[in-house]
Amino acid sequence: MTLHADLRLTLGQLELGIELDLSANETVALVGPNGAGKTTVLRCLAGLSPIDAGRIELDGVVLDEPAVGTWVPAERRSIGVVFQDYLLFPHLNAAENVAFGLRSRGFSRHKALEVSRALLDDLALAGYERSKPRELSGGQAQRVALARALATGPQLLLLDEPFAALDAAARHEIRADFRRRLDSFEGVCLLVIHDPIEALMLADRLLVLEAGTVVQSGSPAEITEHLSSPYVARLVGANLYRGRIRGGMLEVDGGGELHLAQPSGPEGAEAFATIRPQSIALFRERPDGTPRNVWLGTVTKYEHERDRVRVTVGGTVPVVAEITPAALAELQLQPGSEVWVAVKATDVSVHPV
Amino acid sequence: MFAVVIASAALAGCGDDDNGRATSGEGLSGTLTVFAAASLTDAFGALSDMFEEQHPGVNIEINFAGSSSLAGSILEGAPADVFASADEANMRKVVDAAESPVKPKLFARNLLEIAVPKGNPAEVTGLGNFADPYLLIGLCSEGVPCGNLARQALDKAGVSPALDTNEPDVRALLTKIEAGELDAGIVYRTDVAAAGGAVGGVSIPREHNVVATYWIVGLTSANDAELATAFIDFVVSNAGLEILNKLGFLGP
Amino acid sequence: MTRRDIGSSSNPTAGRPPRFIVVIAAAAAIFVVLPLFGLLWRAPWSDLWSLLGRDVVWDALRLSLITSVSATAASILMGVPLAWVLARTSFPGRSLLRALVLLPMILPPVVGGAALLFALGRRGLVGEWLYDTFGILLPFSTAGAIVAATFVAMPFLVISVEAALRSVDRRYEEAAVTLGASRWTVFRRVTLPMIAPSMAAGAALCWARALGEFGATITFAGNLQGRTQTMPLAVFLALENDRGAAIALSLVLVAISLAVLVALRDRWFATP
Repeated sequence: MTLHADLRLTLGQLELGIELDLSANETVALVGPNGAGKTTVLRCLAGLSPIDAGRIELDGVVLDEPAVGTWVPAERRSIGVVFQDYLLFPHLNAAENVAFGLRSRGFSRHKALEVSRALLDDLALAGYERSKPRELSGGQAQRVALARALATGPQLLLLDEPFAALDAAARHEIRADFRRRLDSFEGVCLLVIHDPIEALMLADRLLVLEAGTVVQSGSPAEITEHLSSPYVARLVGANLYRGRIRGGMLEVDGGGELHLAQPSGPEGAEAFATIRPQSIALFRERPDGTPRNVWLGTVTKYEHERDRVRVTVGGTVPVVAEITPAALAELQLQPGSEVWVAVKATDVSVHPV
Repeated sequence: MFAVVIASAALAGCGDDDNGRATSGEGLSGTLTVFAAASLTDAFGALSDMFEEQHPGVNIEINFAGSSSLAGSILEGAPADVFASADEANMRKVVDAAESPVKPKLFARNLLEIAVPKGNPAEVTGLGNFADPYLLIGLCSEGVPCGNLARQALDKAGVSPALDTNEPDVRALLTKIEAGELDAGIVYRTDVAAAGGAVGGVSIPREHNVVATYWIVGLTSANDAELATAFIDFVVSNAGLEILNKLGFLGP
Repeated sequence: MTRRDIGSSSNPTAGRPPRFIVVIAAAAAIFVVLPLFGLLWRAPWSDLWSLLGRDVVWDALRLSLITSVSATAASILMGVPLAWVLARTSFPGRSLLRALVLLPMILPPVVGGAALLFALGRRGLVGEWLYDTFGILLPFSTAGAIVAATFVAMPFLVISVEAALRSVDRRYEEAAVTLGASRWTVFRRVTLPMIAPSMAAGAALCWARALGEFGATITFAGNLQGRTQTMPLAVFLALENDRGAAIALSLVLVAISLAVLVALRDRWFATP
């Protein structure tokens, strides 16, 4: 099952022109600054806003094609949407909220509630079926919103900043589970995410949207390496690694290890580690001193960005470091140069998966 | 209070000549508040105009409403100088409560008449039609003199009316008849005359008809007893009677 | 006396209101309650029971309840779609339409009644056709009393529902649409429940206005015991010649109104 979309739309100041090709076995995140048009893309795919030109086709069915006059309204699209504020109907309890989609499509009340309760149970919300939205915590509400969107078995799942309304603790609580659910979802899934860390953690592929056009597209690793715009640079203000915690260090998947400053999780737990490029120091000679993470790498390339230089260094733990042009000159770095990389343990931030 | 009674009696004793000009009371001025029955609207309008013409310093303000409503207000203490009622009962109420220092005067009489819309579309010929349930019939409500008298007339004729509405006063009843929304109602002869051609009239035979008596009296609460008496004298004078006759009232 | 005595129990930090506000509020309360005490003072307590037993009282009460409830129902049936059109659509002349719809609120009721007569009376603009074609006669009938009450009371409902529809968060309706709800389902299962509290308050206002209607009723529907003489008409006419009965009737009306207002008190101010 695939989604092919060619969206062209002018909305006020925004001129949107993008092409999307999404398939069912990947989770794609749409990232970008405010006003880039991310929510507009979501609304067009959902059928809440018609496009001016182009075509939206889901699983072979054309949903919107102005040139030919085809328009399938939102209520007839096979979609599920999780909104930023969840928008759970305040006058219905959790089970009724989740059952809403099924009942709207003709299922009997009894059957719809049956499916609804099963879904809630699956999302570890058994016992909350009769709770009204205002009685639920942020994390619980988010799960009910997800259940509601999934209940009708949609082909396209759209999520608008699903974590935006949650505090750090709640995000932590549900992020891992969330990833699993998205992975197990059989349809096409598109996330709009603002937090770069989460985008990198949840998605298989990222689309960077700025001022209505896609400026970059690729896997998290690819995005992290390249620089195509100031936003991407800011977005990708981190090196990201996935691995397991072992004895005060992170064993990075694919090789290498990073010393951590303090106990950051149970032994053997999966975790992400990030290092800000500014915190990485490069040396020609092996440095003495405090950093516990020191290794030898090879410069693969460097790029100037305004008053900084980003240097990509390959090795067991590949990094992108940010140094001043003066430092670059002093170090006389060239692609292929060997260089020592030093990172303090305290500059390695760990996030449990 | 005693002084006021004496003063009124003295003034009442003062003669006025047959032309209705008060021989005393030259230089009368001030505001006179009159409470008058609704059916006296045109009559008292004309009477007060003429009086004001004769006494330029005088301003007459008249409150027209159903006689019983006016009587009630006077009993509650409403400030009025003169009361003109369309029946004896309401006048008695006021006098008995000592709201007036002197005897009321009967100054006019009226007969009832059936009012119908112009052209008499329902072809009403007499009180007998009032029992017809297919006609839209209106009367004044029971508390109002017109309503009481109308019911007396219907009683005399042995008719049990198929009533559709009780209007609070004669004017309201006439308005609906004029508009054609009612087929017939019982009002005063003077009302039919006053409406000109806008409303048609069907007379009620003498043996069934009821005479309405109109009474006028000066009230204790009058600001200016002299002015009140002067006006009353004018109303009962020949000049006043002439105006009343022109409008269809019978003499006292 | 501590702070908590004066502040509301749910917000102990509210504190005491400024003294002059309390004084003015007390005066306002007295102003409103005084006429009620006037009624009670003049009530013919010894005759009350026999007065209340009379037919005229029960006929008037029955008619008042029938007309006020019917008028409220009619106002809801017609008023909600009207409020919807005013709140959610735009077309040239919409402001004019809203002004016309709300006109009965400020029009003197007798004028309203006269206007109804000229439009729907036997010789009225539309009334004549209704009468000649279908034999429908509204004046001097209970239906006419209901029409008069609806005419003056409906604007109260329309204005409440329109305000509620405007303030509803439309995003909930979008959420419903993405779940597959048709427009009618969205209205029935999302919009209506969300405006229900405002609608209830509007309906209560509408009912109260219909219950108290006098001028339009007596002018359009006339006045006949058992058919069109609602409580306010009965009181007015009783005032002419039977004050005791008038006061007895008034007390009944006041008692009923109070009972309903007290029963609805939480709804007036409850937030969804």
